[in-house]
Amino acid sequence: MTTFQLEKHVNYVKSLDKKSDFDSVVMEHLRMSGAYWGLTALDLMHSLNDMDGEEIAAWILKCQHDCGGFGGNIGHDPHILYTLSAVQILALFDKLSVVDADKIAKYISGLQREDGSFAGDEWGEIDTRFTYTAVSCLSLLKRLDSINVEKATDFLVRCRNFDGGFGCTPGAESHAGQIFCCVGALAILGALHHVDRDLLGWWLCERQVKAGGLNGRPEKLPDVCYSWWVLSSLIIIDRAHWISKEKLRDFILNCQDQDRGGISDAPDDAVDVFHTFFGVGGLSLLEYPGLKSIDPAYALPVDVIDRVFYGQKS
Amino acid sequence: MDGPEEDNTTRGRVLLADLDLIFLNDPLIDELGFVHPSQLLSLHSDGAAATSKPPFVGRTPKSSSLTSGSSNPEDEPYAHADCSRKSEHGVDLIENLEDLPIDEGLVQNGVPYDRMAFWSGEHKLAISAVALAPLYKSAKEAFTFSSAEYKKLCQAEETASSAASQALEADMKHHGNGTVSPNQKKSALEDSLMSYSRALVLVNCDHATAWNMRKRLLPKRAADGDVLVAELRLAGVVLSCAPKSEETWAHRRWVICQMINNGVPRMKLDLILESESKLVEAVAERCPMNYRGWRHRGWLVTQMSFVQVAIELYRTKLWASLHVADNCCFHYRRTLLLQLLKSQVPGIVESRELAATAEEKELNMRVLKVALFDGSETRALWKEEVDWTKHLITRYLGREALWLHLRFLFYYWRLHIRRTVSPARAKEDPDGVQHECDSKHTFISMDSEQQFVSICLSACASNLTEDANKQREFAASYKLWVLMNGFQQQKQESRRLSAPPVDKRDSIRMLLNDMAPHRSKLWEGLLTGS
Ligand SMILES: [Zn+2]
Repeated sequence: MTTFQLEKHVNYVKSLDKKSDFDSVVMEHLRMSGAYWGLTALDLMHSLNDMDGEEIAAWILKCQHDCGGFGGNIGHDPHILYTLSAVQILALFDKLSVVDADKIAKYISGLQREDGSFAGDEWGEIDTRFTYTAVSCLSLLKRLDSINVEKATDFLVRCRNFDGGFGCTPGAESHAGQIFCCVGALAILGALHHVDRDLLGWWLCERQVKAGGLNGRPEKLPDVCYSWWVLSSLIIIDRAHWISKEKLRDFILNCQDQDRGGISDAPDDAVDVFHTFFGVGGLSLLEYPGLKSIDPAYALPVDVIDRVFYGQKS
Repeated sequence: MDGPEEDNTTRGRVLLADLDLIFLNDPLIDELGFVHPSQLLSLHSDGAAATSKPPFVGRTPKSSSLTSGSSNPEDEPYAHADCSRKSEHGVDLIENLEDLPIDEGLVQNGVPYDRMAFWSGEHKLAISAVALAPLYKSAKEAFTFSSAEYKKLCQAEETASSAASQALEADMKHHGNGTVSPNQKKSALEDSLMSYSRALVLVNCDHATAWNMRKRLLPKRAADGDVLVAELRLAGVVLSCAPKSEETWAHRRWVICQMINNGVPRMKLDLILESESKLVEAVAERCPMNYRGWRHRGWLVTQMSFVQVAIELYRTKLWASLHVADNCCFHYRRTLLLQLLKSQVPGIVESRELAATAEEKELNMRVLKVALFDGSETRALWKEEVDWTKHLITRYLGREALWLHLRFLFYYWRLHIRRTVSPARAKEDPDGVQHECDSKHTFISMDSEQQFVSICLSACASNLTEDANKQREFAASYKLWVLMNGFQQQKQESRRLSAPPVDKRDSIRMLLNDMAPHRSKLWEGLLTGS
């Protein structure tokens, strides 16, 4: 059986910050999220201490705007997605105190619309991802009371489809990534009674292809990142025992670059930090030995979540 | 040694200026491709004949010879484009090519742009892969500098009292041409920012900050609607190269909302929505199962008139039957069907604008007959969709999207439609108790569907292909779907699957484990509720 190349993955993630090829340059606008993926992967692999938390926190603060929101990098416009990533990274380093939680909460609550939905930024695009982002971020900051939780829940429920899944807006096609966002947000809001667990579990289990990997929608190829979106959702609704975990584990392990480290979307493809994080996260959900366990709704290590909510030091 | 660095910067600036020149010369450019330098050479030598070849239409840009084995990249919901942009620019290749000379192709006749970096003709634009990095770098630097300048200017304007600035402006007008007024400087900066942001989004489709700058500036220029039409065209250029770019699709929606806010006439809006819908279809042709693209099409429906929705339903039928694995298109039809059902509410017809010509009136009436169903029309519409889906299922084995569509049709008919379209029966059952309709009225019942499953199973009984395996699995799971949804009480609000009756449980369990043993845990969980 293939083994997990922990050390190589750690080295791979650490090497990313120094890259300056063209592909990295055109990714600069989402560096905040890239940092969250890489750093959380490192923490799951017990290697966060190698990183300079002070320096990273200082950079994060430079990405904050007067409105309270964060950009994906210095000089980029604020967006709710990067605001969550910033807060998540600070939570990893136990540095949430360096930001003004009320200011961030004000930015996020300002993005809630009359129907309960959230815009991603001032330009008004609506998506259930942004609801998840708002809910997760405010919960980490203990500011959920700054939004209309009831309306936010109603909007998520309106995005539910006949197949039990959820899409990005009311009536939009079910998609595993959007399902994670909706189910994760409902879990944080304590509103999982709106989910038909059997129906949704059925749709999610049908994402597992015979070879073991998970796809994100009907008729699509399996992809490592869906190990996260699908499996975390299944765990949240308590239906993960309906799939073959062994086959899924083997699929993820087969997507490793055995020589240079990193995990790709599918076997023999090029690795990237996004799939490395979701591959490691998926293995963590599968309780793979040697990894920290990860919280399926917050997508942060469980000890970080415990520290945020119960003040327990790891 | 900053010599080569210096060269690169100069080269980038020249490329940026060349790009302006190209768009100035041909404002109707609607397609973009990133090409290998050798492809660029052949474009220049072949001329117009080359436009039917890569990187243009008829192919997915990602599978160009430039890219290295990227397989059907997924679009990422929560985390943007990471999957889809992967190896789009062929990193290895660019590294190997950096030594090639780039500034030797400048020609003096025609539009004097760098022939080693660009090719333009037939409203198409090709950019050499080796020119992307210097172009992007220069655009970024210029954009960053100019946005900072622009912000300063705007802030200064805000802080100065309006009276004072008006006085200043009057003063400027009076004294005439000698100096540059803050307004002139501002408008020059706006022009530059439009140019720099265009270069940025052409090379990096998800550069939201560049798109946002355009959103800030466009309302100042949108006095004539052509500016917004041109903006849709630019977003189209980007999508021709990056069909999954969610920032670009979102930008389109923003532009259309601007048009609506500016009071675009209904007839014109109908045309815009129609061409948007066609654009998504064209993109879907090259890039299947494109969630962000189809999401855009679904959004269009919320803006469409009732008649247009009916026309869309009619128009997408052929495309769907030619793309039976594309779940997105079948979902789009579900959106359209549900939208039509919503429109049953009385008053919808009155609220429509009257058709202008007799011909339009006739078309509208014809569509209305299909769309504005009374009970029998809804029944006919639903039956047609069911028959068509079943026809496709028997013709194309093992297509998940088709079986899912059938699940939808059964589910909605049973739980949401059947009673509302049978007023006569509703009168017979004032307490709302559900009865199985007479078989002659019921084209989709528990019996009919179980029968259909049996037919499908026996039709492929001796077929050992993977498609037939899938067909058996989907047929068996559809039977479970029918059993678990068919016995439900009609309570829409608290929908829950219900376990099949005990006497049916053993046979369906056996069937499922026969046809799809790899999902035995799922079947056991659904059947026993554990
Ligand atoms: Zn992926």
